[in-house]
Amino acid sequence: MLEIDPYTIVFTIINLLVLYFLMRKFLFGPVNAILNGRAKAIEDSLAQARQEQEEAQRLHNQYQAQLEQSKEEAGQIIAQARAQSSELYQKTLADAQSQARKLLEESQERNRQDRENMLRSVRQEVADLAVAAAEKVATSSNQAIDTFLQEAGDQT
Amino acid sequence: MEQIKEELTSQLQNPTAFTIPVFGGIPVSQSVVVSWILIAALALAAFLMTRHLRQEKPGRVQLLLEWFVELINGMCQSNIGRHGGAFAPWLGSVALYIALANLCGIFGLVPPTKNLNVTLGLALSSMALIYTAAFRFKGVKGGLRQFVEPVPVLLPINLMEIAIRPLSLCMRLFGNVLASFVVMELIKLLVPIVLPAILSIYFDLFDGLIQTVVFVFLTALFTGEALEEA
Repeated sequence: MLEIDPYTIVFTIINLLVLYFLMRKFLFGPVNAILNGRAKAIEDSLAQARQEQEEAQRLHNQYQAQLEQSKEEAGQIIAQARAQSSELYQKTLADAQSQARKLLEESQERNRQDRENMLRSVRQEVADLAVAAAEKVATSSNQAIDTFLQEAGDQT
Repeated sequence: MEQIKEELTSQLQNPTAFTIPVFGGIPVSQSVVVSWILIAALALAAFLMTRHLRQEKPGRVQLLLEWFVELINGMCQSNIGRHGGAFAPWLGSVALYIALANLCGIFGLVPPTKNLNVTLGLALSSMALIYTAAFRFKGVKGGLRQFVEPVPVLLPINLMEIAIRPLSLCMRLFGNVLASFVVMELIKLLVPIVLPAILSIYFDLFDGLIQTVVFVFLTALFTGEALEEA
């Protein structure tokens, strides 16, 4: 039961070595290859994900900056347009006012001239009429004088 | 009583299966033949199971294999250190062999670990692994220094350990398997049905696996000790 049998010891060691090579070839080798491959794949995809996230963050920041800039520019443009339109409005208004005033003044002037002209012509007319009337009167008084003188002569 | 004694003694013999007719005849014991059968079975199973490994979506068989390999890898790394991965295939093979050798009684084979010479072979190869590991990873100087660690006064004890460690590994495994075998045989003689099946769960399955773990774990622990500060 407890006798030492060197052949069995040697056979056992050889058996173990054979088993070791077989297991390394058919079990530990392939499975470790799969495990390492999977670990590497996971590491790679993690690194890639990190890189993509950084890229996305970078793009996001860039777009944000662009958006800010665009907003600022739009604000500037609107302010500029508002200023321009206000200026134009004021100018147009001033023009219109001055033109209206000019027209008013012109028409007033014309009215004044018309009235003056009318007055002058009326005054002329009246003068003419007065002269005509005076002529008539004078003519009729000459006749009267003549008549009177005739009558007075007759009497004498 | 005499009958039981005779029966047990005959069961504990390690008969020679056949003799290779070279060099004046090399006797091949039954344990060695059973070991060949176990190794062939393991190799065939490993070959068949690792034919279709996939990196993504592993099947159940592959998950089992991955669990086992990672268990052995993790055990080696936590006990041996950063060189642990190099020892994993050897320790894994030894674990598979001892476990199957302890459990093969279930399939009607005589457990090879019941033979003292088999466990002695296992222990001697473990010792070779432990004491060459330091030379392999730390050079000749580092390899020799393992005998004067932690203090040079312990040199005699360290030298004695070279003999004590394999003896204890060998005897522990052999003794456990032998004892459970004897106990089971006695129980079978006393109560032939039901009870042997129940107790066999402890004496054959549990003890067999525990001794496997103990043997591999101690080998890893000793190797780690030899490689300390490597």
